[in-house]
Amino acid sequence: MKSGLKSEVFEKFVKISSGIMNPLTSDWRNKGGRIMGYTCSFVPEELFIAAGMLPFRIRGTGSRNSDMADDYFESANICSMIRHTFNNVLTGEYDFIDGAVIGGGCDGNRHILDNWLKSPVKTPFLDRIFIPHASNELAAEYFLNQLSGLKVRMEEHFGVTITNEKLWDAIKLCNEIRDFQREIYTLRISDNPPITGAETISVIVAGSSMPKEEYRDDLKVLLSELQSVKVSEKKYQARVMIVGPGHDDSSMCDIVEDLGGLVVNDLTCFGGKVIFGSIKEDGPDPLKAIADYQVLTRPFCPKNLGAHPLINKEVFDKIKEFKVDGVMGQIFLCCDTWGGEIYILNKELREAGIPMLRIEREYTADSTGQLRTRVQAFIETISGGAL
Amino acid sequence: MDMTDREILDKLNAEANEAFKALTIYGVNDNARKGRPFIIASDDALPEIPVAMDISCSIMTVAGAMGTAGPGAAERIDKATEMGVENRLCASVKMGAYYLKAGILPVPDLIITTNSPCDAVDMLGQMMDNYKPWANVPKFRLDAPHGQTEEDFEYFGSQLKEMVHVIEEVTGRKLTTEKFIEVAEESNKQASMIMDFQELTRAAPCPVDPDMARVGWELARWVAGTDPSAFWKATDWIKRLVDVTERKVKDRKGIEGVNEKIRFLWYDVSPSWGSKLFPRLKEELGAVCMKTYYSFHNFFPIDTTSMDSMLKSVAKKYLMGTPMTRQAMHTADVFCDDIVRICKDYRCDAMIMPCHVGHRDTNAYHKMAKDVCRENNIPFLFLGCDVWDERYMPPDVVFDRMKTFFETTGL
Repeated sequence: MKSGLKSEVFEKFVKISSGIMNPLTSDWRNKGGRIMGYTCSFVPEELFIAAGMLPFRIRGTGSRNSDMADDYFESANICSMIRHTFNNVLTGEYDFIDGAVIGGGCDGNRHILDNWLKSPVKTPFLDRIFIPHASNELAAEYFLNQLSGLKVRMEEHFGVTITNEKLWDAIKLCNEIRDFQREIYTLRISDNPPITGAETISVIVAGSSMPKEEYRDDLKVLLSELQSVKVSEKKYQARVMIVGPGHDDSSMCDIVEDLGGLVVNDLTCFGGKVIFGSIKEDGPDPLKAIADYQVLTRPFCPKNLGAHPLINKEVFDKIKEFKVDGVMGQIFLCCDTWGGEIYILNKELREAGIPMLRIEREYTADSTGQLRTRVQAFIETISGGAL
Repeated sequence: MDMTDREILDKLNAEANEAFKALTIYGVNDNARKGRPFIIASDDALPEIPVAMDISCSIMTVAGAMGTAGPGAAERIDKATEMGVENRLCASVKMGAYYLKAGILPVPDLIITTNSPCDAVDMLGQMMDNYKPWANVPKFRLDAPHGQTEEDFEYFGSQLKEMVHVIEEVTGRKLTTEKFIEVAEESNKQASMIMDFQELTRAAPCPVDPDMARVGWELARWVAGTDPSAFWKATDWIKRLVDVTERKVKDRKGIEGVNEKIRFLWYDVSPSWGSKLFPRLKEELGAVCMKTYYSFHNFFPIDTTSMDSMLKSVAKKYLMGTPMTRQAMHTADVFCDDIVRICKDYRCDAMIMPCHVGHRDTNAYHKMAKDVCRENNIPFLFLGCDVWDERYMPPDVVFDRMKTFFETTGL
């Protein structure tokens, strides 16, 4: 299902999100700009922007197999998102980046760096930050030290000075972007949203793969276009929310929306989790503001000890606000963190009488036959079988 | 009449097997009835602290792992899988989750959860945290950092300080400096003796099954946590082990009934079905397993200068010295350097990488491990088994693969 959205900006976002290298990134590079890759939404883009770099979130988009990565990561026992992402690194898809910072959000993600360092891909700057698994002042302070160390290493390697002023500017820019992204999400509360779930994913993913100022300006244009769209006809059978790990392509949403569902919200690592809240724009230390935001404001990652009640609240709040008929909990095979989280959430949703479909799948949506059947049955069930 | 070496070792094993009952699901329930404040932790909870406070502490993953062995293990694993957790979740964790669901666990006075050593244990902690019958039980969460710097030890040590305050508040017991020093000194003594045992097992032929280092460590850590009196008994157990080993080295005696030909490193947890594999390897091939994750130890003494120094050094000991935490939590360098060191120090002829299905770390490191073995001329075999569920790759198949590997590499 498509919303019928006619927008040049939107088409641009779709192109950017459906591949890795794109004309804007290429242009940035040709003009001498530096690009910093990163994994995990807990790695703060603001630090890279303040260093004058283009932050680019590393993903597995376009990977059809993980043959090369499987040499490093045992294919049967490591999440395919990690393997496809690393496969893209090995095939040279990320040769355009000047560096990469790997965040240790989960065990698989953490080990990307170890394997990258031992691989033939010689990226000039490779670094890591350890992301706390707790959400308290002590953890925020630990993360601040991690960020301070990374800042110093980046300054030394790239010969730049990351001033507080530049950090505050970057914070403001990213806050603005998150504000616009949330506004787009809010439009989906409507009975007849002007944008589908699959389209929204493209919009959000594009934001981590292009120059930020341009993205902010484009987002503003898109928001205004969407606000002026009037959709009078209901084109779906049921409103669905997706909860789970990295959701960096629209394939799952496409399946739901092709079968009569409409994805109206998500809590995923490339969606709802990324756009949550804002960094405080005052205080003496911008780096501390970033650390506090990542550790204290948005602890929605199942890796965080004690995160479940917060995830539960966020999901239940969104179910109510976005009039969700059913939740799809998706897990990539071998994802221990989301595997446990979806197990807990499934029980609670069922107890609350909210239908949930638990899907264990691979990162690439190649074998969709069985998946489609299950999704179709779910949509039929939650919609009462009537259009 | 004096006991023979064999009789002493048999006695040590028998005592350990009896003591290990405290780690099972039945033991967890017994521990709750001992009249002491009772803690359930998701993973290893640093016994020095509960021992010094006269508290019992049971470990969910250990109870889970124990549940994967013995009669009915396969059925229990299947039931745990049917619950709907991620299919390839480590079975010891699945089993812990199953015990929760089955409602057969006592209500503790405090729950301590941690992300160490892996995401799976982290998730077990989340399940414990959200287990309804324990909804009103106080909880403490320990964030184990992945780094290995002073800053990391400081961060973890600060959390231990907070943890002690919480335990004191919940149980009314105090951690006095004097008692903590006494326990820390004993812990240092035990660790030092385990190092002595490790040194002795370097001898060729290997005098005693090196796996006894695991047994001693588990007695001094896990069993000791369940009952403080077991902590003091563990010292005597380890001492007797060192004594008999020392004597056997002097007498140039190898492991009873084993004609040692091959020494190998099993770089993972010792499987719950190990009794169907390792004795056969020893007896039929003369192949001795020199080290596993849990029989390999490093010495991180507790600094008894002050309460803060003790907590920080306990933190370091926990992060760098706890088996599996050491291998799974840190960078590849620690993982790979240990392989080379073990193979050199214990004269291993080969390295076996079981790559347990639930261990994301080893499954992410297998190429690095293979490469480092090649660089150091250490024959390398990758298995891909399940250390808790023997149906995944039956012990006979593992035996055959190892036998063929030893033959083809000329060992």
